[in-house]
Amino acid sequence: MGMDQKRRTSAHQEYDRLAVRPRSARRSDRPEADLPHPTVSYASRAHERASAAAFDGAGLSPRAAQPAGEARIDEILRANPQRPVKQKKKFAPVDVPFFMLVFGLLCFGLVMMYSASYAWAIEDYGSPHYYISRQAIFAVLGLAVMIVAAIFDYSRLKHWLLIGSYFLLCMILLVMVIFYGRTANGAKRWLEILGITFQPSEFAKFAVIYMLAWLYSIAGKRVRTFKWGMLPLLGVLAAIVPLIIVQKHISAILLIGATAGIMTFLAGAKLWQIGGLLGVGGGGLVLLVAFSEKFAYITNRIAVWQDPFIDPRGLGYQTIQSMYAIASGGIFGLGLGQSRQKQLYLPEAHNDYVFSIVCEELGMVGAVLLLCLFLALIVRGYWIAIHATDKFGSLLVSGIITQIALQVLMNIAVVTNTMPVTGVSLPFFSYGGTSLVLLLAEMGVVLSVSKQIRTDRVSK
Amino acid sequence: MEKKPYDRRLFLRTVFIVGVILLIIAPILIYNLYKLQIRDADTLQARAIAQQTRDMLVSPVRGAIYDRNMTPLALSATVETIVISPAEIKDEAEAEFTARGLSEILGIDYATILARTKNKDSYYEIIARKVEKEVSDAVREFKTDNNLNGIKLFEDTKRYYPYSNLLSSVIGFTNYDNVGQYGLEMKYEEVLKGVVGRVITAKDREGNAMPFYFEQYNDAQDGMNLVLTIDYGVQEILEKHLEVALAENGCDEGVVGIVMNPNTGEILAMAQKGDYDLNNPREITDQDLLAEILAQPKDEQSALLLEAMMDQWRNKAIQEPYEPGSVFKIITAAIALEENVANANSTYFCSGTWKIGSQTTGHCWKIYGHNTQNFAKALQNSCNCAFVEIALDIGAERYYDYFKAFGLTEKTGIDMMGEVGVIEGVHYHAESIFTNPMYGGDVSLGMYGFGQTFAITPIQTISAVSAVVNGGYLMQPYVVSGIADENGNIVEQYAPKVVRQVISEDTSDKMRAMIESVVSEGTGSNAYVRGYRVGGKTGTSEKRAKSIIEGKDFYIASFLGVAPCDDPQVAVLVLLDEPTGTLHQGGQIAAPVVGRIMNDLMPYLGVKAAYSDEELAKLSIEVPLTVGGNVSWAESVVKSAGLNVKVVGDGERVTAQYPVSGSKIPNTATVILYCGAEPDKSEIEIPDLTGKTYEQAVRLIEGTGFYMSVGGAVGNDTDEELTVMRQYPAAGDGATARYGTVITVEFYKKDNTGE
Repeated sequence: MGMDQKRRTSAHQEYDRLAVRPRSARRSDRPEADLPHPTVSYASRAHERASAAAFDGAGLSPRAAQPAGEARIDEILRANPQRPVKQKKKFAPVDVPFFMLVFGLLCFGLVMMYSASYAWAIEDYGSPHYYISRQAIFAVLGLAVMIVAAIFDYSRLKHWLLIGSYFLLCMILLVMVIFYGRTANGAKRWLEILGITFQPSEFAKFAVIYMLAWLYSIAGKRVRTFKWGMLPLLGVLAAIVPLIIVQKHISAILLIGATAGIMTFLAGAKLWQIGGLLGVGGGGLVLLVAFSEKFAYITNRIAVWQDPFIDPRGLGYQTIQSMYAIASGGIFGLGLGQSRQKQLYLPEAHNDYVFSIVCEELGMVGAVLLLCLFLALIVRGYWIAIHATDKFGSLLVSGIITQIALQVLMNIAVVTNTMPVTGVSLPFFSYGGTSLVLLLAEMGVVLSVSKQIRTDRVSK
Repeated sequence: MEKKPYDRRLFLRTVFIVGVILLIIAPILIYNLYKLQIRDADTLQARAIAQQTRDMLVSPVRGAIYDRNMTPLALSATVETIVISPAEIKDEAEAEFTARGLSEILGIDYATILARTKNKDSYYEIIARKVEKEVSDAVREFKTDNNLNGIKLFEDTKRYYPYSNLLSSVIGFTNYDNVGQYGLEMKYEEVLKGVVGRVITAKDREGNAMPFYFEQYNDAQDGMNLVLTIDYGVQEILEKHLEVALAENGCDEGVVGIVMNPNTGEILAMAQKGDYDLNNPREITDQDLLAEILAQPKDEQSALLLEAMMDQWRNKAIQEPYEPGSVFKIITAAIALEENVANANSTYFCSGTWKIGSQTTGHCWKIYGHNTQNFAKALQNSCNCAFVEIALDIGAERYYDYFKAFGLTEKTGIDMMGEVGVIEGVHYHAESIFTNPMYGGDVSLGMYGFGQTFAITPIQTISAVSAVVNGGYLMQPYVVSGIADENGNIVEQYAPKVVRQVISEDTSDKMRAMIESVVSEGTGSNAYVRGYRVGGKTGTSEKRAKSIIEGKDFYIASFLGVAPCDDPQVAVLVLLDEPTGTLHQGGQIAAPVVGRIMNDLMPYLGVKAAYSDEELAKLSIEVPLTVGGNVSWAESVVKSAGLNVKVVGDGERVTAQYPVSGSKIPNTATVILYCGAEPDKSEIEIPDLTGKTYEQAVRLIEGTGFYMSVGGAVGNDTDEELTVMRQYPAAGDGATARYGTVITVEFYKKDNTGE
């Protein structure tokens, strides 16, 4: 024990001595950031790490070009078969601000979902607690999953078999939707397995993130080539998107497409390639909307978006009710639980429109506060991403955070009629058990990645 | 250093993404929140509240209208309006079910209701209004039993007039929305209507109350109640006798009556026949007229119906000027006395014609003339010649001044809807013409003297005459004595209003004595009531214009009575407009009506009867109830009442009596008490008493087994001229009645044609 402590201390003292460079530069200098080898992991696979070091040392890695000091640190760290922190504590500390934000938003979300679902729960199931009781159970379950995921070393996820089978599973589920899907609210997007109803597209979103994170972490610097930069993106989207187009799930396509695109962007792909792809993808989407009868409803939605009052009892109804709710809140709101619009006026008050109820009950003050909480989560999430100790973790976090950011911003944009209506739920707030569990699992992954950063910092 | 650009790229690209989010997207979203929550909040909030709340109007209960003794004449009862809210009907099945149920309960066509449920945007489709409580309760039960949110019930009120036709010309009516449309209902709309209340309740989309408190009440304020000067009892008496008068005389233009307290101007009763049912004001009551209208082409009917309605709604007592005729001699006489141009000893000669200057202008109603007569006698005789002379003695200017002072050129200001004011140059002469001999002023003056060539409304007539008898004060007539709150406490009391003193108390005293003598000795004798000092004046006016146009004579027979003459309690004016019977003179047909009214009115008002010897001799006595009593007791009771008695049978107790108790029979009649013996029940022929004097009638009826109940002007000094004019049951064609039946007869002066 004392010996380990000593070792760790000496190793890091040396690191500190050597790392006298600007913070920003240091930050991007994660030891494994550019490592092309897919199976590197510090904590438990010491032998691999040793071979990786040898690989580095053989000058086959770009690492060879590192300044001597940094290379030394890496060598010290890698040569050390047991990470001092891992040895000392069972659980490395996660990123506390991020965890606090997740936990705070989850609680906040549960309270608001309860309030928003109250009247609908009575209307639909005769009990005001119907939705909240289920959501709470899933929240507890989700928290457990999150903790497990946080403890779990995310780098173990970086295995082609695991990634491949998860991706394939999602594709199978999406295909199953076509045949066995359950229809709700006029769209066939749900599957029921073992009594649990869920949208496979939710899982598919993560599949895309997961797959791209893996592929780009392999690609390394080659991401700037078309083959390594664009093909993974195109391949992944080609595998998933058509299956979602079948579902007429425009918001999922947008989310997946945008998330994947941003991941490619963050992975470092060439801008003109991304731009070109964006043009092609956007154009394709426009064509899809313009010529596919399946998506003809989009044009109506856009008209209603411009003036919801042209169809106040039809397409504009939900938006108008949402606007009423938001406006009713004023600056300080009607008070928690005091929403009037949730009294069956606002459909999906507990689903996609919880934010409207937040606005109504807590006013602009509460709404902006909530938005700030989300922004803080997003910023902190990206902070974790750029501080991640490996590219896989970094991209994984980027993807997850990007997806959450897109969902939050799109949801708020929809309920405030900033953009046309599209079914995007608000993370932590909207009703939906499986997606909450999945979301918290993803948060667990982010926290797992964040542990590495904490380790470094604590070690200072 | 090769690695750096890459790391930097990740950092920069992340910063770029975060920057886009923080600096572009987030501000846009916050700006949109600002737009919705602050900038446009008011409009959107108003719309939100409009959809979240159900704003219900609570109709106040319209104030009641009471007579002076708080007898309700107009009331509002709670009824309900049945409304459906199509937006809150879940589906087609529910709509059909709702329509079916409502159709059955309300008796409204199923398809009609179903059609109303189609208007999905609506929350308020009225299905039935003014639904009575028991029916609406059935609807409510149907709603709750089947949990139908689409059916709503709203309270409303409905106006009820418990006495239907009673006082219809005064009260008026309301429309469907309880807004006064006519009469007092319209005049006092502001007092009666109250303040509409509002209940704003928060409702969820299904129309259920929201689970938290969000309600605003503005209580409805019920209307105040009107308390009238009208006395229900007096009104009933007036209407009863007007109806009889209408039936007997077949007045084409109806009959009008006003009963006023001459001292205060309070209207105790005001009526006209034919009238209408206040509960159905739009129903034409004149069946002949209705049939006539319905015979017309369809497109003309509605206008004619409307005209007929307006006609039956018109309150002639305040809206129809007429020539007062000889009743107006009271005014002329009063002016003469007041101006001292005449006194008790003044004499007037009547040759049967009257002259202005040297020219014979007109003649007296008695073509042979009244010869020489004193002032009082001239009034009793209703001598036109004398009154022309009196008017001329007064002089046009003085006369016109009094004409104005008696309020005959202005509205009385009675607190009723639509009093018609007489118009100078139309209804009466302008002063400049009246006083100018160049325009035949003296002729006008002379004619005014006996009440012709000008027109005033009945309310003006009775007000002016009241001023003559009440000590000289022209009172403003009124029908609303005060306003009462919901507990009947008077919150506002209207005091009698003196317009001006027109003549002196002294002149008034003399005038009372004079008009009393008109009834007791003169042409008004048919208004005589035994035991009461009734004064009055007859009037007959020809409707000159109409007579000329139609080439046929049309008359208004009128009588204005005052009683008791020593202390007037009531003034009664009765107008019979266009009587179609053989008689048309005020003294013949209007005076008996007033006499009958007074006969009922005096005891009702608690005026003590005082009989003269003459009257005592011919007094009628109410038969006491003796059946079941001891014979000797019964005998003494009947005797002490002042009637003769005869016992049949030898039982100890009275088993039957003739006539029935409560009958009023002459004091010379004999009551038969049956004690064990079977009463005579044979049918015998009714004797014809018409045309008989009192003595003859008494003699004739004695021993026939019938009794006679005496009414009319019996007891008047000029008794010998009184004969039976009305008999019930009537004789003739072998008509019979049971032994012991009381035959009602009324004595009037037949040749009383005096005008």
